[in-house]
This record gives sequence, structure tokens and C-alpha cells, in this order.
Amino acid sequence: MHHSKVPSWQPDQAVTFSEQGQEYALWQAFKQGDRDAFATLLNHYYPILLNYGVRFQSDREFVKDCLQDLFIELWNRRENLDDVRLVKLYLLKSLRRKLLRESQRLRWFREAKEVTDDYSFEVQFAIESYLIHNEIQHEDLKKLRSQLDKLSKRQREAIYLRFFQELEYDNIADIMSINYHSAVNLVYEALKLLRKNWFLTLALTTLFIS
Amino acid sequence: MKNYLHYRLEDFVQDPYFRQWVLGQVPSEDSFWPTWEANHPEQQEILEQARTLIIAFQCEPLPTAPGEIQRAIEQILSATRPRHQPSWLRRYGWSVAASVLVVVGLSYWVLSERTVADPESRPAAAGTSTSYAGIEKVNDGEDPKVFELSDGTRITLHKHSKLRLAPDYGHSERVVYLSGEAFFEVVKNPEKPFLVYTGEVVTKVLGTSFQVVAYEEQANISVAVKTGKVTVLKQNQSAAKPSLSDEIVLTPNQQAVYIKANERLVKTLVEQPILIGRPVPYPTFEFDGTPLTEVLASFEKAYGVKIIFDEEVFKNCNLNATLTNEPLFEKLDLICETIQARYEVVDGQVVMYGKKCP
Repeated sequence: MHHSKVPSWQPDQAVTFSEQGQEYALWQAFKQGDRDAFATLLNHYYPILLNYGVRFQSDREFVKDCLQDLFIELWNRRENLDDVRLVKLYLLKSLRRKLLRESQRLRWFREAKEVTDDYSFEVQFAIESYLIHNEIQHEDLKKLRSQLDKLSKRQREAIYLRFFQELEYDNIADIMSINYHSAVNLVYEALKLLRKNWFLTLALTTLFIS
Repeated sequence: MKNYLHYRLEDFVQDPYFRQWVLGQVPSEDSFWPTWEANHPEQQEILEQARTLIIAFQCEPLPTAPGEIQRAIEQILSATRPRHQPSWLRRYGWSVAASVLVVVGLSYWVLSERTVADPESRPAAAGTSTSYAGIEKVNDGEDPKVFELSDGTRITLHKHSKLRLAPDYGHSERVVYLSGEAFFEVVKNPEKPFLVYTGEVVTKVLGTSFQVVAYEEQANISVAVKTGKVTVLKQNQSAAKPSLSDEIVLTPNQQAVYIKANERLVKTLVEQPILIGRPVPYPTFEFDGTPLTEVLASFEKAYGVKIIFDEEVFKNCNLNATLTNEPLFEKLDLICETIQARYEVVDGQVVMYGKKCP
């Protein structure tokens, strides 16, 4: 994997992060106890975080509890928080840590066993409804489904962070506590697997051309 | 200009400009990609594949109830709303509030119990009344079965066990009757205490997780707490009012055992105390010439178990050790071995005895 070739989201079309400076100001205001800034952060990030959280834990109330704890902690510790450049990255990472820790706690109680770093990551990619919508035949759909099932939970999470949350590889690595190359590999391996084994045979291509 | 001619599928999928075009985020007058595609028919297939993958990897939107997110956000905002109060209360406001709820809930219960204590109003135990039409869950098999009640409370019913819900479950209280063994994860609801009736013992909580073992053929009934606070009471059928001595409050890792033979309720520790609170999965206990008093204090904190000892006796004892995920009692064994001490568990607490260290 030549990571020098890895495309970046940012360079020419810097749309996604054009508000970075603004966001930094928002974070500073929040740290100084500005209630409006806090509300703005909440309104913007709560749905994003909830969407991420339910991938780990299907129990949505559990995720919402964690989110509530997280934001209350942030508010209470606001004066001591670091100057965060990418608020989204910081929040995703904090939520992930909290969710895994809390789920582990739950698991202890259920089966008082050795704790592992095991977690699940369930994401329903739009691919199925997309294919159904395009009247792809049953066989192809089944094939695709089995390919998607072959993706590891880490691959799924990396793909989700890359293509849905639109994060850079160094940020993905940071969130998942892995190194940069592993993050790149997770995504590329998943893409390769899908291309090699499944690919979208004639049925799909003809559909586009027609 | 990037050289898109050398792009592979993976590169297209990750190219920001291409993605924006596929996802309809470029202005309609921007005709770069349609033009490029028309000029490179040999690349058409790969472009189609990239397009499909980009769309395919979008995530299905999360279905939410109307106002769900707004309500959650408002809850957070009101929970963090600054009030004019001393700073210590602001900092610990939540835990204080939580324990107040517990206390309020308890006194409410104690008071109300006096009025409903008459045995007619509440069948004493599972299996003693046939007039109950509540839902019944039975586990005849060997493997534990998990099910969830309407309020989200989760119950793991172990082998040969039976659980019945009071017909008015969730009305003003949440009452269940158990014979056998079950693990409860009770959803917090301070207004509706959750009560488990097992023979002579009643376990009452507001929201927590705990284990109850009450097989009819066994000599003891035990209640072990994993999280939160649990009150265990002896059901005294003959006395008009429950007396306070018949009530035990348990905190995590504590266990109440009711000895049927002499009708006594005693407090002890669970067999395998687990770490409480929210530490990293397994905190490392690294001691390098650390005073024993400090060592024991760190255990107290990590396991929420009170350890009693004579500070004067142990003041010269220091410890070199790295302990991690051994059970608490194993840790204590190791230490006792090192300093020639011993310990016992009394009334849900650890008491350590030993000699002075030189």
C-alpha cells in the first residue's frame, strides 16, 4: 500500500472543513462557558454521534445515556479541556472510548468473564436498498450480501468513518487506536475484496449505460 | 490537474471531487465529470464501479422518533444548566442527586410498607398463591434464558427457575416473584421501585443489577449486587411492622445471605468481587515500596469494599508487587503471604490482622 498516493479529502475542494476556523472559535466559546456555543455543538454533533454510537450497541437508550454522560462531563470539565482542532474527531473518539468501556462493564456483569477488546460494529450500508431499487437480481444481491458479511468489524468501521463520516486516515487511525498504515489497509483491503469477489458484473454496468 | 487516467477504482472512490459529483454536491453547471467520462470511454466501466461503491457505502439514515433528538439535547442542556449553588455541589451535583433519590426512595418505601404490610395485600412468595394471573416465565432447561420486560428491565433466568410478574407490574411498583436463580438488570425508575419476592426475602431496588439465588430446595437465599444499591429485607409475616434489623443495604460486591434454618439475614462479600466504577479495563496495581495502608486504600477504591485494619500495626509495612487482574481475594492472599498476615470477611467487610513489620 503506497500511502503517499492516498487521496485526501481536503486539498482542492476544501468544502468539508471550511468552517474549521469557525469551529475553533465555537470550541473556545464553549470552554469559557458560553451556553449558546454548547447548544450549537450539541445540535450539530448529537445526531452524528448517535449515528456512530448505535453501530456499537443496538440498544439505543444505552447509547443515549452514554452521550448524555459524555456531554455533561464535557460541560463540567470544559475549563480544563484541550484546544481541540477537530471537534468531530475529538467527540467521536471520546464516545467510542466511553461506549466500549461501558459495554465491557455490562458484559462483566452478565458473565463475569475475562474482558477482551471485543466489540461489534453493525452498519447497514445503503447498498442493499440501492440494489433493490435498481432491480438487481436476487442472485447478485445475495452475492453482495455475503461479501459484505465477510468484512471484519474493523473494516466496516473504517469504511464507515472514511466514507460516511468523511474522515482522513490519520483521524481514523486516531479514533480506532491503530496506526496510520493499518487504517489505510483496512479500507483498501475491504475495497479490494469487494472488487475482486463480487464485482458488479454485467447486470449493473448495462443498467448504467442504458 | 490530477491525472485521473491512472486512477484505479480505489482512487476514484476516495477522490473528493469525484465523490461530490456522484453524491450530487457539485453545481449542475459543473460539467467536468460528464465531459471526462465522454472523452474516456475506456474508463467508463471503472467509473461505474466507483460510482456504485460510493453510493453503496453511504449509510442508511438512522430512523428517529419525531423530537427524539431534540428531547435528548434538551435533557443535556437542562442537566448542565448553571444554578446558583456552592461549587462542590455543582461539581458533584449528579452523584449527590442520585444518592438523594436512593434515600428518598428508601424512606418512601419504608413508610409505605407500613401501610401495605398486611399480608393479604401481597402474596408472600412465589408459588404460594394461585390467584395470580400475571405473566409467568419458566426456564426448565439447563441454559440461562434472557428476556426483557416492558420497561426495558432485563432478566437472565437460570436453570430450573421460575419468574412471575405481578399483574399490576409497573403500575405503582414493579413486583416480580422468583423461585430459582436470576440476574436482574433493572432500568432505573425512582418512582416505581423494583421488588423481587423470594420466599422470606424481599429485594428492593430503584435501578441496578444484581443476582438472586432462591431455589426452594436450598438452605439459603442469596442476593449479590453488581451495580447500584440494593435493599434486602426479611419478610416478617408475623410482626405487624417490619423491623429495621431485618433490612440490609448492599453496595456493589456485597451479598446478603438469608439462612432459612435460623431465619437470619447476614451481609457478606461476593465470591469474586469485581472492579467497580469506571476504571480502565484492568487498572494495574504497581507497588514499589508502597506503604501497605496505601495499597489497601487503592483496593478499597477499586473494588468498593471496606478493608479494616490497625494502622498502627501495619504502618511500617511496605510492598513491592505488580498486581493486575487477579481477583481481590487472590490479591489479599498474596499480600498476606508477604507480610505474614491474615484476613477474614465480616459483615461485608474485610478485616486484616497481622504483626508489626520491622
